[in-house]
Amino acid sequence: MSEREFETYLTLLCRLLRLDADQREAIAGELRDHLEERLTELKSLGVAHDEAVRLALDEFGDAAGLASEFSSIARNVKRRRFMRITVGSTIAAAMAAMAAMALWPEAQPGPAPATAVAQAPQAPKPAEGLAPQPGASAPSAPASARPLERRLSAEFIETPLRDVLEFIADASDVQLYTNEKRLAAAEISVDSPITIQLRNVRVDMLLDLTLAQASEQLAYVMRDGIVLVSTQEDLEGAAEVRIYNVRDLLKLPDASHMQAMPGMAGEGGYGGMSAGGPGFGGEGMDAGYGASYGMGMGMMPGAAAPSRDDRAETLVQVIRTAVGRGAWREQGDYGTIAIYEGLLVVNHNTRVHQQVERLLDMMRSAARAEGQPQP
Amino acid sequence: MKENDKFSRDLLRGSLDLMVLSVLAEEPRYGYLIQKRLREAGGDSLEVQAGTLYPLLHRLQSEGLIRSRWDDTTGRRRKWYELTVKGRKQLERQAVQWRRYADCIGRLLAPVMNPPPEPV
Repeated sequence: MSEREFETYLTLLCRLLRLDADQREAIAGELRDHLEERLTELKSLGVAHDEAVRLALDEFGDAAGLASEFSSIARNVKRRRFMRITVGSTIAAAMAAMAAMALWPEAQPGPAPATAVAQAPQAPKPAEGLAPQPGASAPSAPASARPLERRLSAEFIETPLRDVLEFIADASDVQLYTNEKRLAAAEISVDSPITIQLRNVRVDMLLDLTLAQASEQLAYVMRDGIVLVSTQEDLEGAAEVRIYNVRDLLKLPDASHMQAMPGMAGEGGYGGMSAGGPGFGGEGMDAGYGASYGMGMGMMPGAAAPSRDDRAETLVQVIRTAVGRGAWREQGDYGTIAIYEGLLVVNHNTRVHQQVERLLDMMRSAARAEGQPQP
Repeated sequence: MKENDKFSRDLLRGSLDLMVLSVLAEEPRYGYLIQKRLREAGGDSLEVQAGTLYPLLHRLQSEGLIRSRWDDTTGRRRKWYELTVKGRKQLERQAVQWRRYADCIGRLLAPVMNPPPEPV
């Protein structure tokens, strides 16, 4: 063992430091000085050379941990300079998230006619002619533990994309990987200036807005707990299959009860979508993020109750229309959706999966509010 | 010196900043000298690892409590740290607080440290 061990350690440390070259070199220089001085001291105390080298290195701990600490300090400096974080408490976030359930980011991928915002079954307004729903249970609180559903406030002023993404990863506690090669190939700079000033915004929406501002070609998916940022073209291969149990939603309802259910697409035949649909859900969704839709798995009052297969097909149509912005194979894209025995099989990217999940949650909440049977 | 005789991490966690600021209040020092001074002050009880000290120094600097400059007049390029005005004020504030805290702990622990003699 020799001082070359020091260089090996410092080289590794530098590789792990997420800092610019000057900063890396400064840290390596400082630590090298310490290691050499410590080595001299230990040897003067009679410690054998190899042992002294080992001891000196041991006092710094593992390079990855040390690099992480230095990088974290540097990030905090940047953060103080550019940004203000206020990640709300779980309760506050859940409350705010419920209020904002109608506001779903739809920045990508690809062109689509309109943003589909499903009904938010919270707080119907008596002024709309609907009786208050005393028994209405609030939609299940969004799992604030999901990092992309956390809320934060951020102020970016001409901040490089790279720094913004770093901040988002930090503040939401997700690992984020940016495929810089793909970005470079698409001539998108990681230093693209981003200016966004928002309070209490969901992380996924902030990501949407950030990427959209940098380039319309950018997108992200979440895979194995890691947010991958790259070009849409690159990420299309990142689709994954998820299965949703929707048997509860396919139970045939009492037709007379359905007739009274607000928010249904009463004019739309069996379920489906009804633009600007009446009832709760239509309200509070005018947040400028595309058009609003009232939505229901409804049926014509008095019409014959549809079969379970009909309802399954309707559910598929609703999802295909409401989320994914046309990114389904039937619409010329790559996502697929099918239903089998009440199990919904969706092969799509993370964003669409999140939307599907959210839509199903909202449908369940709406049904629950009306006393529909629940699993 | 047994490992158990060293100050625990929990104890150090709340006081390391203050210790480092105190050491730099004496005179400017570079990392190695700071570590050495801490070791002298704490005897065998205080062992601040280099892997703890350097990130701490960088953090204190990022908070404006200390500043650094490179110097190679000794023939070796070294990064020297010194207290800033803000750091000195912080040190003074924290020192007062720590004195009160130590007195409080001392009073609370007195019966444990010097238990009254048991009745015969």
